[in-house]
Amino acid sequence: MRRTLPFWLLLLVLAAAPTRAQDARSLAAQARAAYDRGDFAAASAAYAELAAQGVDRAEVYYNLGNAEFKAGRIGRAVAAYRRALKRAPSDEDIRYNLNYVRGYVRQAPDRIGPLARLAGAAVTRVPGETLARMALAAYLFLAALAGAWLLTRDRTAWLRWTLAAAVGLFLLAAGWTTARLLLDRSARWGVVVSAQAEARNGPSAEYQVGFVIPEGREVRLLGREGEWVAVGLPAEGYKGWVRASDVLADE
Amino acid sequence: MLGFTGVRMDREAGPLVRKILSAALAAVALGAAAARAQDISVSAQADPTQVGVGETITLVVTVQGKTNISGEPVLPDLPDFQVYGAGRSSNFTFVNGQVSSSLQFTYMLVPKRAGNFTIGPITLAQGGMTYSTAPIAVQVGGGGPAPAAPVPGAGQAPAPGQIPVPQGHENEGAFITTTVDRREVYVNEPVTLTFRFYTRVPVLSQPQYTPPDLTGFWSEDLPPQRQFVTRVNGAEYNVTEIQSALFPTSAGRLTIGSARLVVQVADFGRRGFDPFDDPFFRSFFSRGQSVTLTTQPISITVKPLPTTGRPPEFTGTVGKWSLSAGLDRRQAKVGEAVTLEVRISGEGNVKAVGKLEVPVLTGFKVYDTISSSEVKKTSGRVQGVKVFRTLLRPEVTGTLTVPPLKYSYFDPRSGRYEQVAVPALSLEVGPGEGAAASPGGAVLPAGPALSAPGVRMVSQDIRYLKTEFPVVPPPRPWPAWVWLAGFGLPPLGLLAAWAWRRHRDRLETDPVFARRLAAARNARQALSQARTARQHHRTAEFYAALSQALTGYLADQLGLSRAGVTQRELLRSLAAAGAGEPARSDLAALLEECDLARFAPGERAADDLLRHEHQAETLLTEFGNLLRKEKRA
Repeated sequence: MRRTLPFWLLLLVLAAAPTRAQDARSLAAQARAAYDRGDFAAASAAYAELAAQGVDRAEVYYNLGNAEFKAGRIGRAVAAYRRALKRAPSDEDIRYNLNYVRGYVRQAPDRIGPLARLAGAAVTRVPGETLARMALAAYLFLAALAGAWLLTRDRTAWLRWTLAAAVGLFLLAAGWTTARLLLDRSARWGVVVSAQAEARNGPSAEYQVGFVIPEGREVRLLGREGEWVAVGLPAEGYKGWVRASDVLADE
Repeated sequence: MLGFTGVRMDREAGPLVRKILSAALAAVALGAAAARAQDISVSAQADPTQVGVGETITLVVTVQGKTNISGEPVLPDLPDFQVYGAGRSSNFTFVNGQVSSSLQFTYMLVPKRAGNFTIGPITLAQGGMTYSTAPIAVQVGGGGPAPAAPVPGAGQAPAPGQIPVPQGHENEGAFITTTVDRREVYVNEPVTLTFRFYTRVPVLSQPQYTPPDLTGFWSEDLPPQRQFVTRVNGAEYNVTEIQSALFPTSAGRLTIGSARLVVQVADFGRRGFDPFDDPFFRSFFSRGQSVTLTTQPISITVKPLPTTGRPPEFTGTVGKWSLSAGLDRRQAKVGEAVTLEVRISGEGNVKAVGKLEVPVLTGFKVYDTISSSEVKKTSGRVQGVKVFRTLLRPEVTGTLTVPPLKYSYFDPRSGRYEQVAVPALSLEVGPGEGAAASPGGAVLPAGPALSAPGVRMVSQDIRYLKTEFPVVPPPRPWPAWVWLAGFGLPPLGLLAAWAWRRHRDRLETDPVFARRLAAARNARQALSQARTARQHHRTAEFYAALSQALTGYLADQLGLSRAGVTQRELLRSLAAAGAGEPARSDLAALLEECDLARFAPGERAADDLLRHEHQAETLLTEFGNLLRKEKRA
């Protein structure tokens, strides 16, 4: 029995894998059925459970955002769409629904110019992992051409131009990836999920309320002190402290 | 208001003859005394002259003159009235050594029965002369006790029975009370707090009022401040009344604290107050005394709003409210701003009216709701209207609808939650100027295709669920070692390629280096040929191969010509390279043996061949090590 134990364990793992997949499919079907019959709270709970089980796909977060919006929780809907968009930045459905729900939240106009907006959109349209893979592929291609350059006796014009193109391709991919990484790491964002988040002048209820943030408003997370989170509204130039439970942070 | 002045009694005298006659008679009768007193006048005013039984008439007798007035007016017998003295006030001026004084005596008359009565004349003895006022006619109507007569300039008096008679204040010159209209209310249901200041003594300065502690209440003043006269245990009091509406903000037992009033009143000593007993100058020269008056705290029981029957949209509003709503226009174009105005009006704490939930509006872009409130305080009640204005922007053409709006509140009178609603509102939306609505809400440039009856947006919503996707965890990101290998190995490969390239270039440009590299390989090949020859007993071939292995290897390593090198050159070069004498001798002997075997063929023992082969291998190893050391050095 002791000798066959690894075999039985392997069998158990192999048997459990299809069961988990089956459970996930069943959960997805339940969520959709609940959504279709108008039980949006149940649908959102099922999609959240699906994500918690490891199926943290863009589609699941998109559906979760739909259910949260229909259940009247605009803040949680925006947060779910943001997570979906992070996984599939080029998905038009996600962008459409996110913009639609944002229409329910009064947002101050952005202060960034059109060029910066275009650059930001270009950088964020591709997932970071994909960008990194593209950069690696360009790097390997460049390395192969450099090796050929070293080894070959006949350095033709074709090889020279291809090598120059490979250098340009690699620099582009590396720059794009670096910009994306810097953008991801430069600022953390979150969404207000309570009806009215009171932003105070310090990390305590003792401090005076400075301004009130409506549900669904995307805020920049600046720091944390116990149960209080420092948030910033770049468009208005405001900063304040809200309760951590009032904000759902991006991953 | 009627007023009569003593010095004007002859005003109606008539013809000039009668006037002259009267003046002559007066001069004869009164003589010099009349001349001294001619500057004194006495007048009386009663207000009002039409009252009911139990009501109060204020009678003011004014004496003016340029001499010192020492007497007091004498009221006639008034059996049909109860008469109270309410005090007097005086005013003196000294101009060019002459005294001018004005003295006012105030009385309160309460009729005992209905009918027409006459007050007066009121007389005043001064300097041996008697002055009198004209009679004043008063009409007293029937019926029960009427409201107290208002003091000129004061607010409206309270209705009969509205004022509770304060207890425990008998014989007090001044006191204050606070009363509430109810002691058990719901949260946010108003309690009317009434503060009254009773006084029957002259107040010498502005009273300092400290309102009660109202922690736990939202307070709204209920102007105006009222002043009237009322009776407490048969005594007449001037009353100043201030009212405020209190809205308890939480359930439980709340306390309205004590109110305080510091007032400066005339000092009447310890004998109690009796204005008729006061000498004239007592009050004039009195500096008064400061009296601090307080009230008792009042407890209010505040009941929580019932949980049963509470509508889900209830936001805490209490009172009696109505709802109205409207759009500022019936027709609009896509993209134009339309204002939805919802008015919640009624009675209660307007400022605490909860927010209105605007339902999801399809086809509109909805901006934030702005609210304003207007409070009216009439008849001791807080009323008003709260207005919610929501800016809408239609994004599609057609008939858009604002669904019916509902608002719930708690009515404390019925003890139930009530709901008011307004029907749906509709708005006709035409295409915007030079643009048409797109599904995403953006405005697209108009063109021929869009002006045709094409796609028309009817409603707008988020897009549906994603149904086709593998319900499995997404592909995992590449592990770290993949990235390390992917980015780390290419530099190593390039380094190797560079080294190989350099080595190849040196082989091509440096023959000595190339021969050195090939020396060992060539020697091994020659030794292999020798071994094969030995095994096949080809002695001459064996020694030829052995000689080639030795001379070829050493020539390659020492940079000598393979073809033309002599034994002597080899030995000399080896000696120069530091090879020892024994090795060189062994080499010379072996090479000679090889030459001898090649050019003087004969039988050789197999052991000799094997020994010479081993000796050649040993020499090659020894010289190889020697030459490598020398090259490194």
